[in-house]
Amino acid sequence: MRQILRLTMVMLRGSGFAVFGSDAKKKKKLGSLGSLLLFTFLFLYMGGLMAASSMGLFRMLEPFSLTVLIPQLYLSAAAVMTFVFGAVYAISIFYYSSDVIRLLPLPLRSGEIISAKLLVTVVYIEMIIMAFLLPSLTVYGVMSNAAWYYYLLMVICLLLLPLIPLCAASIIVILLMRLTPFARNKDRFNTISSLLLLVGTFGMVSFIQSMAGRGGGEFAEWIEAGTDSLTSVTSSVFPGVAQASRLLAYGSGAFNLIDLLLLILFAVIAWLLVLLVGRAFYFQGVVSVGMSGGRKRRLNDRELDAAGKSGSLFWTMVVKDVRLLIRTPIFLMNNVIMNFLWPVFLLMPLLTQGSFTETLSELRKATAQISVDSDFVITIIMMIVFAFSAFVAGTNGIAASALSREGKLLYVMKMIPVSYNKQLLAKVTVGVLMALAGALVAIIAATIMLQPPLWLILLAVAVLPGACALPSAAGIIFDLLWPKLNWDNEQKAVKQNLNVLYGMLAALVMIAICVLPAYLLSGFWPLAFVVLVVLPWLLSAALYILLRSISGRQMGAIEA
Amino acid sequence: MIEIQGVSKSYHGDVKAVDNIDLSIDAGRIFGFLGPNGAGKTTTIKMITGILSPDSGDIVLNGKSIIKDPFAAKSCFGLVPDDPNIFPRLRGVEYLRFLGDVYKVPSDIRAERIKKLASRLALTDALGDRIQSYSHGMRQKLMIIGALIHDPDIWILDEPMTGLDPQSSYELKTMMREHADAGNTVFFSTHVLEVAERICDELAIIDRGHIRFSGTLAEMRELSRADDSLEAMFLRLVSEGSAASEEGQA
Ligand SMILES: Nc1ncnc2c1ncn2[C@@H]1O[C@H](COP(=O)(O)OP(=O)(O)O)[C@@H](O)[C@H]1O
Ligand SMILES: [Mg+2]
Repeated sequence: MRQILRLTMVMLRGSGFAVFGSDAKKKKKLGSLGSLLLFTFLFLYMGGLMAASSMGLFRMLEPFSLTVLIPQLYLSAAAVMTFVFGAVYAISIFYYSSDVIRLLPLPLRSGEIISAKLLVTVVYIEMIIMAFLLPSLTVYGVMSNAAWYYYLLMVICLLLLPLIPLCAASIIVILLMRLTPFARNKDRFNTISSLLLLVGTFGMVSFIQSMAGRGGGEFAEWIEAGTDSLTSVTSSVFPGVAQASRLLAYGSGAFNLIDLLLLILFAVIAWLLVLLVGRAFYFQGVVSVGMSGGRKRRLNDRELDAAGKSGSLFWTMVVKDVRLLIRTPIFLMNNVIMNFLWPVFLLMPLLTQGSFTETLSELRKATAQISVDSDFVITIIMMIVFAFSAFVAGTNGIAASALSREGKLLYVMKMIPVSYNKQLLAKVTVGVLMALAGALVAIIAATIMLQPPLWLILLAVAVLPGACALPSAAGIIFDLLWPKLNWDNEQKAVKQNLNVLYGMLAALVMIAICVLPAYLLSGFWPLAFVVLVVLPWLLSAALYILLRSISGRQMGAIEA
Repeated sequence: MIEIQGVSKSYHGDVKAVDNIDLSIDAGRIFGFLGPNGAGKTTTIKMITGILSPDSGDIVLNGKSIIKDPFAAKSCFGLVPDDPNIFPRLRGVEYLRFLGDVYKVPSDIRAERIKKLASRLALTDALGDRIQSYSHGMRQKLMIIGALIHDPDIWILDEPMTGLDPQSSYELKTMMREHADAGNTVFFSTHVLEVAERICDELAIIDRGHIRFSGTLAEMRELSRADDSLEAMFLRLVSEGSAASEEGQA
């Protein structure tokens, strides 16, 4: 048992768990204090939010004497959440953390390794569960005047109940990783799991929004039906949910000792099952997980010949960067997919409103009335198109992390006989192209929904290139001045890179600089149009001249 | 032809990693750059290839200064870096195609060359895979093919034998010989004495940033007892050097 705990601590520390990082270096102390504060703040913020929502829910359900639904609803939701998050965590902790390979040769019992891994997963999951459920269930206890042992039961339930869906998820993961080669691609896993989390967050936000739109009586009815169906599913899939819900439902009444014993029994059985399945399948599965990616295939002679074909130097460099962006999951999520998600983000509130179709037809009517002499409206539309696409280009961070993403490989840029200016221009182009693609998709979507006249679409499209070029040109200058090359993890090149933030701020400034004069000229839209098309190119040209003047010195100074 | 003229380099203004070295490497030769770990070999190679700029001095490749005319100088060498971990998410062919375009190698020549080199190093079957699935030795081989894709006048290799199997190691030595015999310059660093002894026409020994010896193997033997092993000579040169520098500091 001591051994398991010690292993768990080692794994937690190795996975960069700040709270357990007792051996953090002095330099990092400030940073880890900052992240601890941020962490605490987020924890309290989430907790406060959950407590408030629980309070609101209680007040709404009280008149219908349906408050007993609350623990049921929360525990069922927690079981589902634990199962989903648990699967993601289990894969990354059991299979994709680098400590496994180092632990295997050590004289440890297989059960110890598996138990320690499971414990690490439990710690991560409990962080989430506690943040969400501890405040809400405490509020429920207080509001329903629960007896003292309610709180004891609550803690026991919160510790034991997540074990059951978590073990189920772990077992499924262990079997999948052993039996299907598909799951063993780390890159693919990272991409898919972050997409899933994104979709999940979206779903939750829109769910909450649609919930907020309902009135009292209808709401209570709806909650009752929803909770019933949710509970019937979860309690049949995850034993223990029904028992835990019953234990907490009647906070002040007597509780059933059998329910408590059953809950404990289920948790123990779940743990033992993981050990059993893990002993049989985990270790064979884990050794076959490598960094290896992509399919293995032999090139035939013709393909080899094609590989020998020469292309234009500039496009070769652009294509190389695009490939790396698309094939590196963290870059794909942060720098590529984000270009296409902004329209969805912006549309979300519209879509979740019940009256979406009415709003749309009204907007369509308004669009149909735009004519060539509606100077003000046309100017505003062009300004929105400009601001939106410049915003996309500014937030995709491709140009602003172009050199940082190279990391230790920056030396390749210095070694090859291609001028720095040409290489930097290729990198800017990548950022512009991605933003353009995103903006074009948004325009196509808007065209389908609003059906504007063709000339208006053409005007909007003409505004795009300059709008996308300007923030990218600004972004790369920051990265040229302060490239962040010393990273061991791609995340640091894009997520923890201040240049990306500077790039976004610069984009906001650029948007203001271009949009303001256009607004002042809104009395005659052709003038505003000329400003929105020409001004960004003038500014980009100025930035490019600045880039050229510093590129040689800056690139020379980089000693990677 | 590589001419290193009075080149010094220190990191962060600290200790000099390379201290005022002069070397001249003629075409048609294999030149071994020998030294213990941390002697300054990689630093020197990074300066030759334009990755680092020297604090002082100049480096001239086939008559073109890497400082004053970097574009022309960079076109005439191919580098096998000490760390072969490059673009793990590209496929082998994609990496070679990138280099082929960078060095503007015409299509037909390039395809022939890739096929020939890959089959010599037994890498043909892996070229369609991502580099991240390669072993260390396979990556090393890919770097070798990449460095030779434009048939450079100067071939620079930083510790190239590390991680190669005996077969490929032999093949690489043969390739280095052929490249030099065709009138090109081959410059490689190593800390493995046997390798140097086997294939160098000339060699230099660097230790703590100073050149302790430069010349042919025969000249080096003359310098000491004729029957001395290279290892004994190497160790003596390095230890004499350290004694000298300690005296200098005192
Ligand atoms: N990026 C760097 N920053 C600081 N010191 C360095 C750096 N790279 C190398 N050095 C130092 O320079 C010296 C020479 O290193 P290097 O040229 O890599 O040696 P070698 O390749 O001969 O093993 C060593 O003392 C090393 O510690
Ligand atoms: Mg070295």
